[in-house]
Amino acid sequence: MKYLYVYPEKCTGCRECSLACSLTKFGECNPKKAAITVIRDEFNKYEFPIVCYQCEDPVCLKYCHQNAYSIEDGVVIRDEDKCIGCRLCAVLCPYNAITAIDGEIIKCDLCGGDPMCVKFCTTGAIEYLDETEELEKRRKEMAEKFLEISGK
Amino acid sequence: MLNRKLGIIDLSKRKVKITQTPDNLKKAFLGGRGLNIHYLYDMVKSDIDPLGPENVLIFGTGFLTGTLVPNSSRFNVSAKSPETGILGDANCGGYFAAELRYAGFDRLIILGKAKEPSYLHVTDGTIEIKGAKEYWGLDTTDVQLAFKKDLGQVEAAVCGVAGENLVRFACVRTGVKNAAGRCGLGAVMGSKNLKAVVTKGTQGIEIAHPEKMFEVVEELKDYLMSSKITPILGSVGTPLLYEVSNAFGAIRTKNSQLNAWSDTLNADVVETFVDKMIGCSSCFVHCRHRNKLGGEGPEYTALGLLGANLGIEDTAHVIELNNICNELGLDISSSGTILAWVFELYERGIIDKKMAGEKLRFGDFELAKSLLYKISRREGFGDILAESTRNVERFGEKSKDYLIAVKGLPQSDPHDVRYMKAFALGIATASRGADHLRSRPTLEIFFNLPKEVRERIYGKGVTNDPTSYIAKEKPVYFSDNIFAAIDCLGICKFICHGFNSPHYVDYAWMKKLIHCTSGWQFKEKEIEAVGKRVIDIERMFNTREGITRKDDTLPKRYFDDPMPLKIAKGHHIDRKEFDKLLTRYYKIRGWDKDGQVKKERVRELEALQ
Amino acid sequence: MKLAIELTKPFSDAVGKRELEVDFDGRSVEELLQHMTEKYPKLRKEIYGETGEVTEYVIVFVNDKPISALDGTDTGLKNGDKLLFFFPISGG
Repeated sequence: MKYLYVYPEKCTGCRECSLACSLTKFGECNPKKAAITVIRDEFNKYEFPIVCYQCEDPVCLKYCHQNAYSIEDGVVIRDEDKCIGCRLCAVLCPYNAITAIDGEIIKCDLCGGDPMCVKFCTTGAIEYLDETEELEKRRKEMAEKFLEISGK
Repeated sequence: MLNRKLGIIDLSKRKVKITQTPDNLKKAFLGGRGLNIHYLYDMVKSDIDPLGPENVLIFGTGFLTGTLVPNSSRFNVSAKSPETGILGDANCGGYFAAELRYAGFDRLIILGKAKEPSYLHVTDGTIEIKGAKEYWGLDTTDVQLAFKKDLGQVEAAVCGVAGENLVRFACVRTGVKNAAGRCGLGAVMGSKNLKAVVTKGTQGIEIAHPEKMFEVVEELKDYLMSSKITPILGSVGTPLLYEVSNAFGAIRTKNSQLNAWSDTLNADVVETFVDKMIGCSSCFVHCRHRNKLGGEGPEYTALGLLGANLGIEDTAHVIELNNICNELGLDISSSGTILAWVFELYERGIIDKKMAGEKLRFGDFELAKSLLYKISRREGFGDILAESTRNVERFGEKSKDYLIAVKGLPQSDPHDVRYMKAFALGIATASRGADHLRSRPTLEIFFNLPKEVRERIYGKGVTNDPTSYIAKEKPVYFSDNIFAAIDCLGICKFICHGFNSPHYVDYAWMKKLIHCTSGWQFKEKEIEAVGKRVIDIERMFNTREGITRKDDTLPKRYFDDPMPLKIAKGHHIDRKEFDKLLTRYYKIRGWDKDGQVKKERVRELEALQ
Repeated sequence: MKLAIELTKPFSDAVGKRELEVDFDGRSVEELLQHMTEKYPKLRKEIYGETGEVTEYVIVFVNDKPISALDGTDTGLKNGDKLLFFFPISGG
């Protein structure tokens, strides 16, 4: 199974990933209307891509009272028809990986296996890789580190 | 993407008008530098004081800014320059311009003068004039942090203390180091009591053909990333140029008394201070060095002009001066040039201790540092230095012989142009004064650029010898036009055809990028015509300010003093040859022999107004 | 003949030093490039493209002129010539 992996040390903050995401999902260039967000602060010196980690036991799915979420082939998918736009998933996601903007809920679906964000990253800061044991370890480390930073 | 608005803000009347640039004007000028000069020519009267309320200050984003198009981060700030009295225009990267577009605006035109310190708050379709008393007096980083604390994740273009105090070479800054550096536009902000333009937006830029954009940008990405130049710019950045220019003997040293300096400022030394390389919005190149001393940089310009030109060898010192200029909001090119100029004048006895208040000398880091602070606050001798090249009047006519400036603008690039004749013509004719970002024609020294490629780019007859004057008007003409076009599009010159490489984004690429973004079908020649239009109107603006052929010249030293060191030794600019070259340049531009745009062309361009 | 060669990045990285004193029997720049890349194999990828042609990413000066202004890689060399290798880059 392939997932997105982020390498913040390689991220330059350019947001091509977000722009590609918004362009493919909505036909517009808007880094704030994307399923991948680069949190960047050049004064405090960090660039950090936030992606959906496609959790095995996702809170978005667990707490969705409309049962809009399901897991298909390891990817957490939101059913737009069932979704009533309550934004609970966006509020609950511990990684802030679900975006709610302009009445849209934006959740990464890995572009059906061809993620556009990865295509436009020039430094390898986001990669779409097979889940090997090593990568899985790294992914979990990253998630834990992130939880630690966000104080949850 | 064509629905972004034009905001016209009158600070005196506290009135905001929101309108739109008509499509026919966008077709004629695209955006960025082009539309800025269109509005400036129309709105600025020639006899006004650049620091008076009549000056017009424009923040204009590029036609493609904020999109997936690589390196589309840029905007131009334009006004009548308080440093030169002619066109003031500076191009800048970072994240501000993209954010301004996401807030719904292409361009802001700022008129008048606020009664008290103010800033503009631009969010999703609205513009508010707000009080900035608590932000006045802050350095450029502090003020941006304060805005973020008060207003959230905003992007801001600000002036520093130097701008507040009307230093004639104060810059506009955004982020840690991006600057619309040249021509004193930060002082224009200060003169209007405008500390900042602060923006935040959520409005996406609608793309005419998203699938096509993916296709074109992916293809362009592969093309750019396969170049050997892209990874070098992204790992070493511009400091590599220092080493190259220095090895060659083309680094402005001690006010161009010398042309080579210490290896201690080489890229591998700079690298030891680098934390991480970062990029601007949409950037594929990521040439920005986050330095370990608390800022970003140094670029080649800082290494040359705050290092070699001041006789300073220690890289840490140069980085510190670089960071200080950025914090105070001073243009690095003018700062390094003006300081070196007065150091030499002092050595020559043209200015004395009575005027300077202390002994001036090259190689004194503490002196340079304290003078930068004094300039920014207009204290003591700093108050005099803040007047930049206008000091020729104060220091006497003889002082002009040692001033490395054209049309009142200190030379931007630390490159000593006495060797490369096309480069020399470029800085002599650039529309904002001595500047390399209007036409840095360097392809001619490419090792094995085949003749047919050279001719395709520049036209016939251009020799590969950088020291030859033959047909050198052609590379300048070509570069002027294409750099103007890319400035209108809002794309960084680092990926512009002819700047670093005979490859990269040429008119054919521009055509595809314009089409997929807007749906507009431009022919390649029509994009080139936009560039030519910009150059001509910029010239018309300058003509109105009194610029004639006699101003298209070079510092005296470049004519009369042969370069003393290294490979470039013995080279200088020959006055007669230069004069003939200038005549040929006017001819190819279609200007008259005095360098003025011809009447029928003036009528044609004024009809667009 | 003896040649004094100054190298800047990335050529200096490939060779491991910035200045070389080369004792060389050949005649032209082309032969010198062959000689140097044999002696410093890491230099090969900086000088030659995939097709074996000299890339456009190296500028060679012989004394005060680039070889593009002379006879390209056929440019003749003589004892005591000073050469400079650099990577074409612009900016500011």
